[in-house]
Amino acid sequence: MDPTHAKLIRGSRRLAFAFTALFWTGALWLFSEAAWRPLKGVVASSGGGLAGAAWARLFDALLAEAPAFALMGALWTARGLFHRFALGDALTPASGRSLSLIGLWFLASALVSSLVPSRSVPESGVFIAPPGVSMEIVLGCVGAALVLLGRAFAAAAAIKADHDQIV
Amino acid sequence: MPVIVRLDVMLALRKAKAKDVAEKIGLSETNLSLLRSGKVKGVRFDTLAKLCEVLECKPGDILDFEP
Repeated sequence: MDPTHAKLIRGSRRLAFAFTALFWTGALWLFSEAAWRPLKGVVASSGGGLAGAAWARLFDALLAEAPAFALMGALWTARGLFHRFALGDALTPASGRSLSLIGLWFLASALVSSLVPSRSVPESGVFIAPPGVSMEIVLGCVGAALVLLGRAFAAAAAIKADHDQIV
Repeated sequence: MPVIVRLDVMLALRKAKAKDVAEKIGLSETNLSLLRSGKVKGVRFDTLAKLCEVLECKPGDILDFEP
């Protein structure tokens, strides 16, 4: 195995581990931030008159974190992509599809983030500078770029497959 | 595909074993077998030159064209 390939495999293994850790840390953080307290409210109010309000609060909390859920999807897909790289399957159509999927998750996060009312919007209703809007644009651009890169990757994989059939 | 690989014929004419030829030209037996059966998309000039050298023939003896 040539040194570049070995370096790619080593780096991918580390990144796969890092993305796995990030995913589970993020999942724990999301659960504790978004779902834990509203869930406690739902359990506490079960059977009572405030059950409807508790469920609505849980739904609102989950909706507000919807962009983060999309980013979690991107983390999970990236984990799979680098896991595949670590196994030596670098230039394959599946890797290209995974890269595109990461871009789609980013795009979804940007889209949902612009549609869902942010928790950071002041309750006074004064909305001078939309918070996170510039971040959404960046996220959307990165997502679109990743989708295109994924397609280029898939095209490169197809060329490689063709090349492998030349003896 | 109108290009026909006649490597089988040349191997038989030279009474050469595919395994030995593959070893001499530095190609895997699998790839040589794929080439013999015409299941490849192309042949490198380098591979063709080595085959011609080992089988003492010309590229036209290995490749044919039938429209």
